Amino acid sequence: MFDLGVLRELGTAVLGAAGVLAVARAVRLPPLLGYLVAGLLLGPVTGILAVGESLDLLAHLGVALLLFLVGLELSVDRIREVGRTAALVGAAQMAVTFLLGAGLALGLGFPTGEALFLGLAVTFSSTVVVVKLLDEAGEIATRHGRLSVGVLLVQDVGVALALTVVAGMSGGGGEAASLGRQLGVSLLGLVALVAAAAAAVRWGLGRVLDWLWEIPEGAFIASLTWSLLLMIGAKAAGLSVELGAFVAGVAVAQLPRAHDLHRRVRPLVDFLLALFFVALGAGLDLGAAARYGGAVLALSALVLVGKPLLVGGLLGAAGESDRTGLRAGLTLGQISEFAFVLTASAVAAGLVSRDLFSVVGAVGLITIGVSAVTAPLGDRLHGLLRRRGRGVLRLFGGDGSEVEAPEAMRGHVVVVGMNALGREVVRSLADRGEPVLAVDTDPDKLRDLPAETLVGDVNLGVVLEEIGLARARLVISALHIEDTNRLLVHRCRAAGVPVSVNVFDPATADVMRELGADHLIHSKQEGARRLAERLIPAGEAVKP
Amino acid sequence: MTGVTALLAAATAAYLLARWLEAPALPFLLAAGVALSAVYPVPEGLLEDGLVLGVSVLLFVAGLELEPGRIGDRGRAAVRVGLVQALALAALAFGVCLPLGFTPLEAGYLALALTASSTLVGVRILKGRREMFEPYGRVVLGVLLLQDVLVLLAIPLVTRLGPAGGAAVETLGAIALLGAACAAVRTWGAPLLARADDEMLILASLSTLFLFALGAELLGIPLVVGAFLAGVALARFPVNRIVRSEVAPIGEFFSALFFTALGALVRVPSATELWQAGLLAALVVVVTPPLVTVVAERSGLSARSALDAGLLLSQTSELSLVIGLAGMVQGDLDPGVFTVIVLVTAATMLLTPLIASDAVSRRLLRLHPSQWRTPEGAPPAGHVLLLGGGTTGRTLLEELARSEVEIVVVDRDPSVTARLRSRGIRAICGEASDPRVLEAAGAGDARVVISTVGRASDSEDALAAVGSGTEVLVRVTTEREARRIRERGGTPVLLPERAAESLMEWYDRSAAELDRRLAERLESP
Repeated sequence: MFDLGVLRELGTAVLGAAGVLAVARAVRLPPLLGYLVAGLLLGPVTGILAVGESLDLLAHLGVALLLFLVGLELSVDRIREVGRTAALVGAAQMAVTFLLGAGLALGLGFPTGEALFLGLAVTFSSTVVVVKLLDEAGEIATRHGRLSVGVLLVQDVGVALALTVVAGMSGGGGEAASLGRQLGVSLLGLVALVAAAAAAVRWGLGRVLDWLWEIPEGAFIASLTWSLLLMIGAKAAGLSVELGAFVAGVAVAQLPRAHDLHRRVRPLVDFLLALFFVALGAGLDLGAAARYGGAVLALSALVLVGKPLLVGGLLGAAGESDRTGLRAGLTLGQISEFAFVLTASAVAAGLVSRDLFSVVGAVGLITIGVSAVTAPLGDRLHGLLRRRGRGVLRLFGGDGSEVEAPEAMRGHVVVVGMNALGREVVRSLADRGEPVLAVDTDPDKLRDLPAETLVGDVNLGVVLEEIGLARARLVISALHIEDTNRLLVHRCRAAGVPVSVNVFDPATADVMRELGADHLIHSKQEGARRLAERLIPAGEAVKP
Repeated sequence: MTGVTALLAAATAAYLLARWLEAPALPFLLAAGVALSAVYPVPEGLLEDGLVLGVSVLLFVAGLELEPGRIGDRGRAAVRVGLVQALALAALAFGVCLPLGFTPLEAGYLALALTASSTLVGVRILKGRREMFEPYGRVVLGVLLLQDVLVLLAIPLVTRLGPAGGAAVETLGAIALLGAACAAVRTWGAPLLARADDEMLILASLSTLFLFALGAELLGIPLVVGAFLAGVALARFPVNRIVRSEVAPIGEFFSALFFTALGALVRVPSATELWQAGLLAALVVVVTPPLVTVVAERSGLSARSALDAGLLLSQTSELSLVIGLAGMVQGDLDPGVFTVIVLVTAATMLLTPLIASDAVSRRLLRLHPSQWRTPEGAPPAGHVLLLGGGTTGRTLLEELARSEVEIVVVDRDPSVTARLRSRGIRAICGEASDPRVLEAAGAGDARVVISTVGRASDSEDALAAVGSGTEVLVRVTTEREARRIRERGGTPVLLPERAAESLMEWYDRSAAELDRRLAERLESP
């Protein structure tokens, strides 16, 4: 038989993740923390899971594809909007954190080389953690979300440079000339990457994907391939694969179906990321970390408290509101998984001692775990400070005002399926002045409708949230797809929302009624009656 | 990362080709794998992982579909058609393979590979035609589901026959044990999942998959059986639909890897293998349509629908590839036999869209024994001529029965016209676009002609044949069809208009009720 090692490895990780996630959900802890704990339990604690090549590959694919998702959500315009602030704040933050971290490490008694290294390790925040947290809260597109992602991207360039430097130091013994050349290659690579993406967009990448959409899984695989190609390009240029994936995402973010693509990629990324965090937890050496307990705690405190204050303060200085500053700061309060990679390569090159890897690992685990809990509390903390501690908020430069009010449709009628029936219904409802939301998987069918529109597949739970199902007055499905209709009726019923559904096949009327449909549209029979109405006058007119 | 990229890039090329040629993607994925392995040595570990994970996810998704309710009231017809087709083709294939020089064990594998038709291909075509929930669509779906189960049950038995197999009793016992676990999860586990959020749902359903796959390994039965049973365990509405949607991208990712990786295993076929594959493919394509048509018609489908079902089922399944792979992994099949199976599958799948076309179906229907002959008596006059006796036509007949008008129906389906005649309605069997048929039906002297035939192109032909002078009402479902009919002098009747009107009547009537329920929901926390 085949070697089923991959099944065992993946199976263990997935089962562990699912089990711990169930507990984490019950006690309302973020999933990310759950996965790390699952990894710890399966790895260092029990030794059941040894992370092999396949799991490692899938995990890293997940991280990279996450950045593809981020790119998909951020079109060029949205990035430009926060670009300058993010660049300034990111650069300043990196410089200050590096100095603080290195200083603290020196004070803790690490030798100069290792102290500098620890400074570097605490400088970067974790893209994957931040994005996952923002994504879970649905906040990627908010101002603090975009700023956080912007700062992270600036950091990514910093990471790429740092990785290049470390690689240069371990390889050529640190000659300035070869180091400079490698940095040059990286920068050129970045320019080439962006140019390649821009060229592909210009020469019709979007049109090809759109054309291929008739086979939706084909378009999905094609966009994954596109992302992977840029990732490989980035790697060849000495950049991080994540940067490549991000550029790939931004390149297709302008497509009318970008959002739909996002929804397709997301479950895959969710799955792969769960593997990533489990693998991360499983790779830790707890014993060595315990010996450096004091240093670990001090560095963690710097990352958890110092970094948010620093980022928030800088954002405040750049003119952002205190709420945005606080939330972005809290979100960025952890160290990056790159710190592990960086440390691992430095250890391998003999630049620092092996123990440093455990220290960085422990700091990573603590700060990632804690920030997973604190970041979602940003709003609540802001509210608390507004009432009790305006002085603290002043650190973030603002005056404690400004609260964004969420905007959402309510009392609207959702019409699913823009076939002739669906379009007719949308028009009739619009004539009556009702707020209507028209939904279809094909953006072409949503053109020229007197209604709000949304491209999406109502089989997906996310889409039902996006259409504001819970606040809808009525859902109408004109679809000719029985499987989808059944699930939609079931879910509307579960949410207590009235639903009317097209029963194009009279035989299934009972099924729909049993599921709890409030009204059935007998489209074929009604149509026949219309024919009969037209006919009988016509027939009588000629009757002798 | 390079290996994965190479496989996915090959898959992308395959999808682009499939889209361009408007053909099923699967054969192109296999071909892309073959082409890739010629220019780039895919790392063996990746290939193996891709196959193991791919086959698990593929079978899991297939198992999820196993929900008998979807077949509606067509279960009996599906069982009859499915069993007859599977058994007849398996027996024929076995009989053909032995004289071709295959060993009995190889012939057994080949027979099993020819047993099932492809769910991927069948469902895609039905969806494209929007006929998935027509009676014949449901029969086809039922046949496909049944054959999946048959094949999955047979795989452990066939693999047992080889030198590396275990004892029959143990295999059956192991299947029974895993089946019991499947039933238990289906009863108690699946309903729990319906309440989970997306992320939990994905992890929990994949956990089920891994548990069953590893369980199968532990019990010594093929992985594919475990993965399939995991899907069956969750195949309860609404959980299966939810899992299906949420897991779809993961399935698509691993399927693309699976089929390209499988293609990379295929070696260039020899002349003998090509010839053998051609013969077996011909067997599938020639035997399936008439066989299915006869059985399906006897099980209550109309002639035209039965024929459509037969044409749609005339290919081998993606599971055939799994059977070939299982045989090769087991050491029962050499790469040559595996190549034959892959060739047969790719060829029959590519042929399906050509065979299952309107033109072929029309032409073959002329061979039907109860075909058109000139009806006795003079052509009618002053009547209402109804072209097409389907759902719309039937409702229309009921409506018209209340008035005094005489009605004549033309339908291409002999069983439909026979049923109408038995109710005392004058019915003529034939193509609505055929001038001879229209003449016999007195189209020129009719008060009005109404066309409710399924496809718009047929109505256009009929319109041309009737000529001006008679009003022709044509049922259309899209505005574009309506325009085309108007240009050709017909009167299009957009069916949805009336349905929308009646929906709006209900909407206006229920306004207060809807408001009340909305207010209740928004008030409650």
